[in-house]
Amino acid sequence: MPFLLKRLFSAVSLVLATSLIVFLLLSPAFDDIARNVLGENASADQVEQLNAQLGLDRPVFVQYFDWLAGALTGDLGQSLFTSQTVWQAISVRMPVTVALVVLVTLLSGFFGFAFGVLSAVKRGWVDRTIQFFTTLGDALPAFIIALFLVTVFAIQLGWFPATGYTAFETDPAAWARSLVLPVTALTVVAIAGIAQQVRSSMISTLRQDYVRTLRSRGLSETRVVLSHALRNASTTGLTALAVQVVGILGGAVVIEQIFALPGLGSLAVQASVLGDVPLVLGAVLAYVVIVVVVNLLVDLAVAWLNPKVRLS
Amino acid sequence: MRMARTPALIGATVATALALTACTGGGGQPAETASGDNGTAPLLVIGALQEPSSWDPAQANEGHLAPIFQSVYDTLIKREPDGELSPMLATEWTTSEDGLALELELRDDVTFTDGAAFDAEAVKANIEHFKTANGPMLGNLSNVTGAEVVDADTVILHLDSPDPDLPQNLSNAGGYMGSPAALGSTDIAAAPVGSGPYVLDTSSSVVGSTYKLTRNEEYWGDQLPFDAVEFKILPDETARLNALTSGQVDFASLNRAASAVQAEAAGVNQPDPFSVNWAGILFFDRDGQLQPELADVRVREALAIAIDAQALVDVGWEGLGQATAQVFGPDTEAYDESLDSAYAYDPERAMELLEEAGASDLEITLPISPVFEPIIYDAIIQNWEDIGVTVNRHQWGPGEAIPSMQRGEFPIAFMTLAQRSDWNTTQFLLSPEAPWNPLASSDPELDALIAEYPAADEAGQAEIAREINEWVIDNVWFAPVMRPDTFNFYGDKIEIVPQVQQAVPSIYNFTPSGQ
Repeated sequence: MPFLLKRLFSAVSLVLATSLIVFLLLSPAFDDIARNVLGENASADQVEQLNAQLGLDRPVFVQYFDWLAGALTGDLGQSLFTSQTVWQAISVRMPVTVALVVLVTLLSGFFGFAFGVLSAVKRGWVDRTIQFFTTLGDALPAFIIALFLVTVFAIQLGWFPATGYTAFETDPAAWARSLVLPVTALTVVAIAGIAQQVRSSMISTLRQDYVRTLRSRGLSETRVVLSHALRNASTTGLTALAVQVVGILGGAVVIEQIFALPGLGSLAVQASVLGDVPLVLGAVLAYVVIVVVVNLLVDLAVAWLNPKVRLS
Repeated sequence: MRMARTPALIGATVATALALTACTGGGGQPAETASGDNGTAPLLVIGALQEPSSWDPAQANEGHLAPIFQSVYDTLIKREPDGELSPMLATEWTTSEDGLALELELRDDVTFTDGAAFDAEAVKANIEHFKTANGPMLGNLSNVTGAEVVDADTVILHLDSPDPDLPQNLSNAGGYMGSPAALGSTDIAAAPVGSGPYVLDTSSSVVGSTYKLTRNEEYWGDQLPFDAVEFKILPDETARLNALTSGQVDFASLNRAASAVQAEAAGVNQPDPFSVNWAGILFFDRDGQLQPELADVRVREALAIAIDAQALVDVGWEGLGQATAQVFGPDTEAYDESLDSAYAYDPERAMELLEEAGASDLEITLPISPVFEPIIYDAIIQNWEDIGVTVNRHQWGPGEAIPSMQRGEFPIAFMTLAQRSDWNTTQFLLSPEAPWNPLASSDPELDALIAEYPAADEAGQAEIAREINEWVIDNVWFAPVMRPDTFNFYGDKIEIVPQVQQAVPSIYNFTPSGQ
């Protein structure tokens, strides 16, 4: 319990710090917000009137504490550019990004571990082949892979939609089809980092004395690798996975744009460009929550796998 | 009341379509589809750049947002593809002799989707709401002081000074009519309550992603040919291009010439080339408040003729546009084809002008917007450096460019702006209060011409517009470079008729192709 409390405390601190930083970073653009809301036809008087209406003519810290006071009571405010509240915008977009991140995490975790273990155990040409492709995956940005996948599988072959997202509850098959290409683009990149970490960790684990002892006791190689060595080596792999998840969130911002997925990433980009401060802060909050939850889950998994972590 | 002559650029497409549509405006009942008798089709999917920030009609905007608002709201007056005005919710309109009143006769068979009746009181409520809601197109009714209900079917709009564009503005955001019972409420901001041909299916729409519209079964006019319309919100150009080439959307407009080349290569259809914008340099600082040298017209002319406009069209715009020196488009009375070459490329003469003006060592800052291709800026800067001008770059961040320009922070800037009607151009670009005249440049001769315009008759207005255009060119208020082509692309299942002075066709201009 103290462990969870500590985590909660650090999450709240993180939210406060990031929200203040984001607010200060966006503040130079506050003068432009009313103009961007009203468009290029509006007069200076209209802009001034809207500035006053939105409270953007107040000092930055007054605006921040006003937002914070609202946020603490659960009111994240209203988007300046759409008719939605920030809660509505996040609740509509969160499932898209969560689906993307969870699927990519599971797939990249599975394939990253599988390729890493295979490389470490087989070595030789298998290792070299996997190393080549994981290095390639690491070197290629996700958006290049995405553009390639769209051109081949959406435009030329027409197997998957080039853009858009269908909610799971509307049509599970269409939901899956809408996610295949974006998930693949992000997974290819994420696998690379995890496989490399798992490989080196497995190689050093397999060289340790206790592995030799297990083998000398006549345990099958499969059992030695999967039940014992992998359990030890997985701590490194899971930590790499946690780092990758943060990278996946970053990559998802671009991928959501390319595939026009209505997720948090495209929301954050559009809101940042327009200067929709309440929405940017809401999106940042949602991202912090995702990162904290993922890190918590990884910590719990590592603790479950490795008793030494539990003791410390 | 005549708005503009038929645009030569749209040419055959419009002519054919108009012949086939016959009387699209006569009470707003399209008799046939533009492509002939192709009947109805189940769905039209439009890839849109923008989504409404609110469904309140007073918050409506023009351009890319026009078809989505037209789907759910009718305007008092309809604007045909060539710019001619025709009846819609108003069957007739008459401007008083002094230009200070516009009397509208209204249809008596229209109800809003909440059951409220459309009548003179509804018009009055809409006008009053529009005037106080501080929407983006407030300027549409800036001269209107109020609405007077004469009887249920007649209303008079009173003006404090004549506005020759008022009927046209009533075919734009200023003319959208929402239910008086809903105006100003939070409900109408979230879901439209109008009398348009479609209604928003809120359960199938996702803000930021998709808006689905189904037929308004109680629509007062003839139904549009599509049973349903879907707007996919695709602000990212790559996503829009991919959706278009993979057939996910029936129509999309593209911003970048490179994307248009890709779409063309993929075999996507497009209308004959036409243009709704002009692109070039705006000399904001004609009085030399920020850059004293710019007060000398010779310096402005030197900068204008130093730009190799045709090379810029070829390099920066893939050759998809026409070089020009005019801010007025070919569909206006002010336009004069011979003036397109008024700032013909002449670097030697440019250097002489700078020398005569004592500005051979001119140093100027050109702000750079991330919206435009870097090669455009590179080409202009190279041209100016070739005549000995030192050019400093200032990089704008995303979303900064337009506010910065309209605050008058820089003496010059490159920008793409809409080619508007003659009067609208004076109000948008030229008058001292115009949003694109941020440093309030003025000149007695120009101000006198603008002041004369509203009271003149049709021929007089045309003559004054031409004089204004010549004056602006002679005094080098701008250095227009080109009229970039407008990139409208559509799939095989539909046909479109481009809308003059609008980046995308109006919702009435889409028809099934029968394929």
